[in-house]
Amino acid sequence: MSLEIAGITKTYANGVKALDNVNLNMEKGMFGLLGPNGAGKSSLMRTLATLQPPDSGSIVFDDIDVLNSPESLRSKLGYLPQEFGVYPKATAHELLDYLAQLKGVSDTNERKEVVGKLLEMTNLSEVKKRAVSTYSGGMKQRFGIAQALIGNPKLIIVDEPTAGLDPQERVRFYNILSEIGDEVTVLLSTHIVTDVSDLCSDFAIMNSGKVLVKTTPEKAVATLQGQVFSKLIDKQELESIETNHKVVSSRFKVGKLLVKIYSDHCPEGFTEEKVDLEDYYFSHIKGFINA
Amino acid sequence: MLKIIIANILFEIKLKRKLISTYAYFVLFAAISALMMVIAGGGIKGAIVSFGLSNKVNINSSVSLTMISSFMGVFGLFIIAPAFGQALFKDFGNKFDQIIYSYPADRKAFLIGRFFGALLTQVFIFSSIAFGLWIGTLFPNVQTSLVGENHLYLYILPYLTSLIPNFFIFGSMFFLISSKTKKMAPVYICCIILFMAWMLSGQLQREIDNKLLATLIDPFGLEAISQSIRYWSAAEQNNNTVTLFSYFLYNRILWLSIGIILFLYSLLTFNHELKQKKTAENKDDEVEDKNKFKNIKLKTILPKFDLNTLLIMTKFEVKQALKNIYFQMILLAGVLFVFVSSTQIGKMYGTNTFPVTENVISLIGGTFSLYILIILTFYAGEVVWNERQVKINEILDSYDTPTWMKVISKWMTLNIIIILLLFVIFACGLIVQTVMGYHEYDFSQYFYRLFLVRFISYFNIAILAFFVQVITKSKYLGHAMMIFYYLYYTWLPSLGFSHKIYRYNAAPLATYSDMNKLGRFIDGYFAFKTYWLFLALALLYFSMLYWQKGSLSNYADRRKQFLQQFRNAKKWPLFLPLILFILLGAFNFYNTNYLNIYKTSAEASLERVNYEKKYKKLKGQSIPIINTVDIKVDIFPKEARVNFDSKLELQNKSDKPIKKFLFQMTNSNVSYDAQFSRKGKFIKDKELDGIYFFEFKKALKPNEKLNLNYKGTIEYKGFSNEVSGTDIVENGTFFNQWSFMPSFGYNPNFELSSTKDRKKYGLKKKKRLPHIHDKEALQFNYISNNASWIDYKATVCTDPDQIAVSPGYLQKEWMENGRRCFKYEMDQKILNFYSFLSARYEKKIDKWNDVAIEVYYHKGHEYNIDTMIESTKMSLDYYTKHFSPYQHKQFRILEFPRYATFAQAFPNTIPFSEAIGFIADVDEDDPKDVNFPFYVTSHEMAHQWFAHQIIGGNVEGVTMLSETFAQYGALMVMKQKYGHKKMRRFLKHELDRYLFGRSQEHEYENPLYLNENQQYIHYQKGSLIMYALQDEFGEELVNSVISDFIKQKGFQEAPYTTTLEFLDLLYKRIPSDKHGNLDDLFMRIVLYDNKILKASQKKISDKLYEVSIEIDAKKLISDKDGNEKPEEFAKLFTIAIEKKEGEYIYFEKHLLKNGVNQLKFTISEKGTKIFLDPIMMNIDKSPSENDKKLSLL
Repeated sequence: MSLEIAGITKTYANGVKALDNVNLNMEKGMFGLLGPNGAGKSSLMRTLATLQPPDSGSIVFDDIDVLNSPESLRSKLGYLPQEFGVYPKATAHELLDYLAQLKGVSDTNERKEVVGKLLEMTNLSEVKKRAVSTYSGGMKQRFGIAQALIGNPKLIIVDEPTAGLDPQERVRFYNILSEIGDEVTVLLSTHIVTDVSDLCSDFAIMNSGKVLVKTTPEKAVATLQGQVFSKLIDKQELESIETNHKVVSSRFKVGKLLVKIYSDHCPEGFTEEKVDLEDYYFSHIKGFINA
Repeated sequence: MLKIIIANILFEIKLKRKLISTYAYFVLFAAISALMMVIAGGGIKGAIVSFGLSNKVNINSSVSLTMISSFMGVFGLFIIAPAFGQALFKDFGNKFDQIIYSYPADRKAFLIGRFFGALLTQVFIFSSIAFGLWIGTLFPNVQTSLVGENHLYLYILPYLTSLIPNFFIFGSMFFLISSKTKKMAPVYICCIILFMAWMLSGQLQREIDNKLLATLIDPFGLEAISQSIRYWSAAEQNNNTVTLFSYFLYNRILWLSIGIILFLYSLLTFNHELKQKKTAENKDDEVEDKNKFKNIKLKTILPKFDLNTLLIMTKFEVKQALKNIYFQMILLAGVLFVFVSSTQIGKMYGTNTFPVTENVISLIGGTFSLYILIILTFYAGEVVWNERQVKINEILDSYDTPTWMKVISKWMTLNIIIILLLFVIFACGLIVQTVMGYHEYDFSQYFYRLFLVRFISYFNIAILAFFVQVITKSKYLGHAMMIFYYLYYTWLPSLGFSHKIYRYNAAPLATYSDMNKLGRFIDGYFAFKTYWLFLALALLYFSMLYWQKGSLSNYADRRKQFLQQFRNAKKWPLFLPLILFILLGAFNFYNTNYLNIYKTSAEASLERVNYEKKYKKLKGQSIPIINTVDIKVDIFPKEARVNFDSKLELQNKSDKPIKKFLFQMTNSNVSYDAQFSRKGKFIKDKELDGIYFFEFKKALKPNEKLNLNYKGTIEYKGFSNEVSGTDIVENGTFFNQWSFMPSFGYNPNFELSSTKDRKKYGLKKKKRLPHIHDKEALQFNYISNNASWIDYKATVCTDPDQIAVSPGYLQKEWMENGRRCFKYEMDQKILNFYSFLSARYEKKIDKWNDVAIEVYYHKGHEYNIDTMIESTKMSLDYYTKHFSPYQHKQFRILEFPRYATFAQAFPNTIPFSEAIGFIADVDEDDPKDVNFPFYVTSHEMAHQWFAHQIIGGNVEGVTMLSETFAQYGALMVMKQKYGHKKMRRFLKHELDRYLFGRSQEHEYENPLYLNENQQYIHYQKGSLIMYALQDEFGEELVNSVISDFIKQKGFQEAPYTTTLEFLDLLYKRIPSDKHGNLDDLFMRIVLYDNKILKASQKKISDKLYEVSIEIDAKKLISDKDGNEKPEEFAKLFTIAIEKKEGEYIYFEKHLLKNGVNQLKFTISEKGTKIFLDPIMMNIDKSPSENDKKLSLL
């Protein structure tokens, strides 16, 4: 149950190179795709979901040549796009039932069971008689994952599922994902680092249409051990520090600024910092380290 | 405030300035306007744009410019609507409203600015119309005779009266709607409603008495303009300037007030807040925490797609469609429109016909078909784009639902919508019939015409609309393409390309007739519809392969994807229909172009031109004249075939020997063999079909006779591009001798008649009829150019269940080889004018003195048979008493299918169309109703005298002796039945049609006695003149002059009589001081333009009211182009006062002189309305000014 992506390139009509020779392999389990807005994550997800053919490259999932026979993948795919709408006035139950039909669950009893289970699983049973269009953001995302899970797909692609959700809802959403992540391949794209550190066994960082690195959260943190240092400074000092050091991040802390830098030794006035995944992510995005 | 207004105006303009569409619209409207102008100016062969104006009117006259500009403005609605709607909506649509409306700027100033910004840009865009029209006048192919001097103000005027006011009126509507609903769709619905109001107004124009109301309904003012100028003569159309007057003025006042009120209302009540739907976030959270997350195992299910999936998908799509509020609104509007226009079903002379199923389907189906087209265009867009609009497409496209299922379910949805709409039509039809108290529902006709004939047509359109949506990148582009298709479809024929082989979904369809149903004509219809259906199926399959899942790519990528799809797909569903399309196309083409003849109008004209150029020199050469006709006709109704075998006796009645003469039979459906009893040979014209010379070996000397055996077949094979051969049909055959008998000698009727066309081909102007003193022309009557009076005998055979009829009396009836035969013989000479009819007839027999009366009718059409018989009897009574004896012993009326809508008088035989009178629903108590079955019968009866006793030579004025006199006869019989005072009912229609007819005159108007077969003169003006004549000089006197005229000229041989000979008799009987009055009636074109300025009544005693009125009287003498000169006069006019509609309490003549007349007289009861010349005996060019409410002082 592995997904192999090789040499995927996509240039849009306006000249933007959204995907630039993307190569990735992933196995069963949760895989995180991390990157800033506009990195090409959604383009890659859409390509994997057979919604947008690439200019070149190949995608193979479980011996299926995805680009040449997208239908074969679609029968094993669950996809939750970054944004989606629903038919006005359709209730969760009606809509999920309808979607199940479209996904090929044609047996009425079977469908009844599937829809019921999914609604229960996503904790929407009690509101299934309400129009999905009146749902809150979190409920709607849960509905989205419910539809993606119809038919128990082998590959699940969720594109920025937690964007705009409050922390509580995010946790709920993770619960559902983690529940299914053991059996199948789940590809999750996000720009929030904790999504990855909390959930994923493997992840990759994307920027400007390229995959910068593919690793595990543990390895990532380990590679950077001893190379991140911090200092509490005044706001005015930031400019000079930026010119002299590789600044990974800076944030306010009780009126002052805590800057973290990347360095092979500890500069004067800095103290060594415990490395987290965010430091690794920013170091990559800013090009301080290369895989 | 002003600053904000200006800032907003400028912002609006700036935005539009950047839009390519602004310029595209400018160019588009300029181009179409120029094209219209070029077409109106005769610059494109065969193409016609007229707007109900005379075709002599200059294309840059005020009338033309106003009509064309306003018409273009109507189509501009679809640009105006989004412009004004978007002026506000763009903030909401782009979710910018929260920012914009958080600013402190004055809301009103903001709105005013946006509104006038939009208005200004529209004025800019539509200035293209004037620009295009002007360019149009400069085109070299426009006829210079149709271009007057260009005046800038004439181009600007329509903007002031029509276009800019309309922008304002519609703008405020759209502005209000979009500001209230914050949505665009209601704006488009409003557009459709405005269109419907316009169409409805057009429908209601047919009712003479409702003109004001009918013109007020039209929001565009277009109907109001055309009604205001309805009676303008050609000269007035050229010279007058259209300003705000008459109906147009009232219309503008009404709609501008509506516009202003709506605008103010939207300013005062504007509320920027969107209604927020409350989401129930918090409530859900509580639910959430109570539930512990459960580990649920999901079963893996292998996807399976079956028929059930398809049905579910279709059901879902249909539900989506029907739930749409706009669908419901369009539908509701359509239904309302149908009910309103159903009051006009089959109206003639303002009188209803019964809502027979045939008429109801034609009316409702016809009015509804536009809505179906709109709905299909709209819904094809919705079903194709629905998922993308809802934004659920990415989810659905990641499923492995087969694409074909998706496409098929959407396409089936369109078909289900069609069927639903057809059911709506069906229901509307039943309701209309029931409400009108008519219960003979013809369900099989409903089923056949709606669910078969119409369905296939919409089926094809639905696929086209669907296909167009699939291949385009936006819904609106798809809509635009469909609009383009409709234009292409409707305009192509007027550009001279009328073949159905290249107009998607075109097919010839005959009028539905109760007698003949759709007859064999349905073959051609289904052949062409099926032809297009095959293409449609190919398009459907193509749509399936071209269907895009996922994100929309550019066209190049889509082509690549399509090719990839195509390589993997089955090929036969694409190629099989395409092959069938081509094969059936070939079959259709074989039918239209080989079995039948397809000519473009230009080709047909050219043949006539060549004929004239080649043979005109033979005009006036002697030819043999037909003395007797003895014919056997075998009608095969089911095969659309007639065999004929005729024996003619011919004679040289001239004083010169005849060596050779032209022999022509140009009907391509006739094949014949002609054997003369005298030696000679046929010489074929190699270029022109059907034209021969017959050359005698030895010349035919004066008075010498010979026989001609002329036999052959009329046969309609296959089907043609246009419905043809409606004269020989399964049930209701009716044809006359012109369709198969040869004509001898040069036939001037082949010549092109319109001056415009003749000029184009370098031919000299031609009078429509020869000069009244033309000796050559007087050798022939206007019915036949190769015979005078003939002896006639006919044997007609037909299918055993039909009755066949021809002029003459039935001698015997027998069966022969399983066919039913009838032998008819006339006992005296008749004109060379005979016909053959055959149908499954019912028959009603009656008698008047010794004359047998027979009415042959279609079963179910009994309604007016008794009226017809009554009319026949009264007419026979009157005509025999006042004119001369009836020459026949029998009078027969025979119904024929509604392919033609006239009645025609053959000797003792009147074919009478099923459309005019058989199904009339006359309410004698309704003061507006005209009993037209009665009138038409009486008119045709009169032709037995005026045509069949008195026949004029084929020169100008001749139709006065037949048609005008027949009108006179009918008028006198009607007067006898209803009384003098009720004649207004009928004559007001005659006046309206005369005035309208002259405004449409193509060449020039003649006085009655010289009319050149101009219908509005010999029928309508004729009625008015003859009625006035007998009113002034007495019915007895007129009758005795006519009677003398018949005595002197009846059954006369060549040279034939003329109107001059009649007028001579008439003038002699009238004192010479009154001759001027006769001149006014017959020799001149006289119009009055009288107006009641004031009218009031005052109670002077218990039983006495004094009426005082002020009348402005004007008499005008018009020349042939409609230029008028005033003339002094003093004349008696009837003044009548009504107590209630149709009931007069005062009816007296008063002397009026030109200028303002003051009149005072007393009446014994209180009146309500006063009429000047209520019976319309003086032709008044603005009849609406001749009645007035009588106010009480």
